[in-house]
Amino acid sequence: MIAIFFFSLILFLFLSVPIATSLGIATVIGLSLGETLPLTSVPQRIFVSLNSFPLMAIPFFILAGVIMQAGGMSRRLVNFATSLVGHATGGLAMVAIITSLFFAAISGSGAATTAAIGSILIPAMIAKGYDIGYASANQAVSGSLGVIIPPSIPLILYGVSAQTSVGDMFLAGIFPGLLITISLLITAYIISKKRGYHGVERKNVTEIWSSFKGAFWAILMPIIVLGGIYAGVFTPTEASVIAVVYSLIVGLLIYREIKLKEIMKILENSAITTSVIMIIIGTAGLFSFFVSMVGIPDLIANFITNFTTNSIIFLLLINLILLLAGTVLDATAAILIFVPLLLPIALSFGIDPVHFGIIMVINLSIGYITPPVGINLFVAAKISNMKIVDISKAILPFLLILIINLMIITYLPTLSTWLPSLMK
Amino acid sequence: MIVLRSYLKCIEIINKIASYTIAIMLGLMVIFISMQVYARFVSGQSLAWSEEASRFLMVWLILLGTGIASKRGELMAVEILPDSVSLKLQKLIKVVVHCISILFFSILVFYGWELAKGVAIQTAPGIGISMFWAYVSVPVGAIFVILNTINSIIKIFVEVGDT
Repeated sequence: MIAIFFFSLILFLFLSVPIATSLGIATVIGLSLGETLPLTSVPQRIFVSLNSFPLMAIPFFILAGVIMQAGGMSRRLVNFATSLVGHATGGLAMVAIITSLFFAAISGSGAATTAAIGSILIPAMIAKGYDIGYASANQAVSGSLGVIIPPSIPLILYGVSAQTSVGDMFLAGIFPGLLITISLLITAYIISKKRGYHGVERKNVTEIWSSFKGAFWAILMPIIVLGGIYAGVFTPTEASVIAVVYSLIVGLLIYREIKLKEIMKILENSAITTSVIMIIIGTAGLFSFFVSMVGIPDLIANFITNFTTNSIIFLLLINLILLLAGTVLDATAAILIFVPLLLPIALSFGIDPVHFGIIMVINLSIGYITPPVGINLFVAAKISNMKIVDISKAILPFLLILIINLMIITYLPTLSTWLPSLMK
Repeated sequence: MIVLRSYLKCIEIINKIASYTIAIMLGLMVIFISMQVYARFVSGQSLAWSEEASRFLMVWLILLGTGIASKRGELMAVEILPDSVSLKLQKLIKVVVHCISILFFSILVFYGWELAKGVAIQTAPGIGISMFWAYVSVPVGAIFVILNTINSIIKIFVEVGDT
């Protein structure tokens, strides 16, 4: 029965049946073969999985991201970062990394970050003499950072599906996120030095001050949102609604780049994006319920412990599985599928669930920049009019850097677990 | 042909209404949860209804939005089928995929309706309505997905121009 269940799931996925439907119909097949439960549990699990307050942070962060994109925050952040570091060697590449990090921290989505920052900076970098492949690859990679830097939708999803505190996940992402950022900045510097990518003209203090004033309201936002969560003032969901209200006030009243009549369109697009991500949560809830009911994690655990009982090798294996999965599955879907399958085993190997979540999210975020299905690659390639093959080649050196980072983060659990343990 | 055309027209109108509905639902969720935050921090007491109402709105929003997303072809799928397969085979696969969707969502309509009737005697603790109105989102949303999937199948066979 379990063999048929997995075979049908993989067949449906391969046929490009939507992931949500594949998970649902494979589980229905499993349930009907086993006659373990009445089929009314199908709609019931879907409803119960979706009817969750912590998950409500997802539509709100999506909405806040869309409002920020429409509200002119990205341009102001780019201006401010350029005035600070634009003059250094490889300045614009660094600006792309830093603003992506910052924008991702407030929008929670990698593809949105790549689109918002890349559409400004990729053309600017090409005009400044950067290689088009390097400019696009740098942006795609920086955008994928978005899912490690809190607040992020994959971190929320992991927290909810692993029954770990979302606040802890947000804290755990900070140091790994910084590590990756710093290594990307160093890479940008070395490559630019070698290829002679000079900085833009140095700005004087008055110019820096005026670009800071422009970006002030955007900079304040993650401080309010994350500060509120970390200080224990808001829950992540409350913080997400504050992000919506804040970005709306800034976009409508301070920057005045959003018109009232655009709001319906913004709400509608955000609602559809929400559905696309969250319908998978519904059927994945059903899938995960079935998987643990028939004891599939035990089977996988037996299989793996026959192979190794060494947690170092186990983690290597996990990294390989997740990297491969990330190349074809979107991170959000992959988290929902792999948490019920792999987390119980990871726990039995003594791995901290928070640390495991960070490993998972980083692996899957690398999937955003690897073919055949890398959404950030597609977005960046679209902006710079490149072929996927060409941009994929330019991605290779970055991939190496990210994998080194991944190994450090995998085998140094403190990096992820220290901050959350401090707050307890 | 006239029947098909009027079907497509009909779906278009329903989708438009649904788009407005989910936009308003998301707006209401923002308002309700903002009120909750305001109530907790300013007046110091929590609201009993806002969280529950927003959760139910969210479930409705997701299920209705899935129908619209399926029509736009935005539902996430693993797209690794090679482009090199012939156009005919591609069409065939698409039809099979849509039929699998219809099968799954029909199961949701049937059992979702049974379930909604079954929980109708329960009352939601916060807003006091019957749980029927929360659970019925599943079969209603599923019908909506099926209608849009039929729409997509028709469009594979009939060139009706993009709506």
